[in-house]
Amino acid sequence: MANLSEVNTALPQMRPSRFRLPRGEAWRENLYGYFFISPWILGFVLFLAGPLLVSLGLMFTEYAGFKKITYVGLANFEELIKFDIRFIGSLRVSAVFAFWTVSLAIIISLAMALLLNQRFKGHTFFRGLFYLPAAVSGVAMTFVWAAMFEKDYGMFNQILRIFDFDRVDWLTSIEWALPSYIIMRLYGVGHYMVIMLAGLQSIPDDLHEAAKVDGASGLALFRHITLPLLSPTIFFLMIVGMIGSLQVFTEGFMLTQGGPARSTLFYVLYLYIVAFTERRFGYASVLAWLLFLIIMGLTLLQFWLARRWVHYESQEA
Amino acid sequence: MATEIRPASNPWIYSRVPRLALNYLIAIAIGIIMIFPLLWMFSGALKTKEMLLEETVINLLPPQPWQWQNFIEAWTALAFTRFLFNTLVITVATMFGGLLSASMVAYGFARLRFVGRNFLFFIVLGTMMVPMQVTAIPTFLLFHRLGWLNTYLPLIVPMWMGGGAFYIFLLRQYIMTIPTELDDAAKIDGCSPVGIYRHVILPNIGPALAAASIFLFLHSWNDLWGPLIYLTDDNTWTLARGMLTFKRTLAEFRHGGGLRQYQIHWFLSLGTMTMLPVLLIYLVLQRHFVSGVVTSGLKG
Repeated sequence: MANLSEVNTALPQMRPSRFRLPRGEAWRENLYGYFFISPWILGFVLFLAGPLLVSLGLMFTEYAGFKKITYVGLANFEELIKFDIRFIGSLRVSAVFAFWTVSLAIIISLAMALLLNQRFKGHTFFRGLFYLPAAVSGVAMTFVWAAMFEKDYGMFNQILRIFDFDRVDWLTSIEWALPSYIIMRLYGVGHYMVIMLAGLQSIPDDLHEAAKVDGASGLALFRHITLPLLSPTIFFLMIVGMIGSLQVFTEGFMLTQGGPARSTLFYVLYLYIVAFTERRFGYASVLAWLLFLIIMGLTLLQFWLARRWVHYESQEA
Repeated sequence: MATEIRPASNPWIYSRVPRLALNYLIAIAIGIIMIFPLLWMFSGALKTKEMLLEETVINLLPPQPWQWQNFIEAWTALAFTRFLFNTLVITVATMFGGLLSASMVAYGFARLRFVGRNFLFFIVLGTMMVPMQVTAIPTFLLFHRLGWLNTYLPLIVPMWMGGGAFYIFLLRQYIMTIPTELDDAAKIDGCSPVGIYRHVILPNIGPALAAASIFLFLHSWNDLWGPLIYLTDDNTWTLARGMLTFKRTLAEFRHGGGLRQYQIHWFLSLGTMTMLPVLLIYLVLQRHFVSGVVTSGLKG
């Protein structure tokens, strides 16, 4: 859940100084300012900028953590591009997973948000209920999923058995393992829904009213007013959802560890295995930086789109 | 939205009633789908393994006698009391340090004028793009050199340094909504920025602190990546780390005389116990929960 909320579209908007302070005051305030942000500066240097530079350097080395570092030039990059089947596989797994989770989650959450936006009595209760699986998602819920997908005792096969269907090897068969993860993720659709709902509520009512006066039907209203005005929210959720699905780790590591036959080897899972199981810090740094670049690309795309849409909306109004 | 706009006197209301009923029907159906896994977990936690295997319908009310010993058996299969203690220490320390440092930094960025403020805040926002996997290896090497592996420190100390850009951003946005007149009044009364932070800002940012502490709690409670890398000695394990081993060894297979025994009832009882705190927090603080998600996700 943290992933979804950790990315922001906001640009800093500084409030202009309200009055000029005397020189001595200004100096004092500078001092206080740096005093207050000093924890962040320390953390930034020690745990972000420093490590970022180190891992940049590690990309050109072979290093297991304890022995000597060997400089290998571009060998790691060559391996990544030419020889690493697991890397290609993990990229594919993550892409397929991200595509299905995000697109299905957006459709479902949009439907749910439209339903709750009708404001019938008790809609806040239902909002709380729909959000519940997203709120409790985490290690404990992953545990429960493991039980639900179990072959003999699990909830899903129990239901299938009741309706006389053949049982499904959810997490243990190549064809069903990844879809199982998608089902699992879709239970957290409440996250998308809450943000979608906020987007819906920010659409001014008078636009709908005006269109209704012009005789627009419900479907036309949705297509020509709701959907265009909601598109910034939808694209925001798309990007943030993609970033989130790229970083799946806990579920994958707990449930299948990439198996069967690497069908659930998510990108970050593979990264973890290379770094901390195989102890190839150099090569893992290459993988990590690639992830960084992908996420940065997606975020910048979101910035760019957001700016375009803000422009579009202001023209509309 | 669309349905709310209609002329005052309208025979249309009649066609609206079934529509309302349809709304409820769909909402209830989705609600059942959403809550069913949790109900299945609660009921399964009180059944025997055989009951789970043999039942032909899903009994959400477990048959008597309720198997309360499932909870004790699962809890004592590994040193979960120890893991809970470790988790609590880490969680409390993380929350305290995260809230303190993030609110300090947020106050600095929101209120104080210093050279390079805009630029530095832009960097704060930029750091949200950096996935923690990129810094994981050098950070691991650093903590290894410091001799901090198998201590709580790698999981706590970074959170004492601003607690992450997300929390700084969340709190800063909230501080910006507090009228500056309050600061000015305190300043006239002779308060230094430290005094303003303590007596004006902190008492007024309760809701934002509540939202931030929920996220901080969930982060520590659910973190598997950190404990996996930094904690190899099982005396220092957290609940999440312990559950991983529980899943892989005890509950997964027990090759007793070639018989594969899947201890699914333990899964469900342990899942119930570790989910309970999260569930309680959600039920009690739902408002902050949801508003935190929306604020961080949408508002700039």
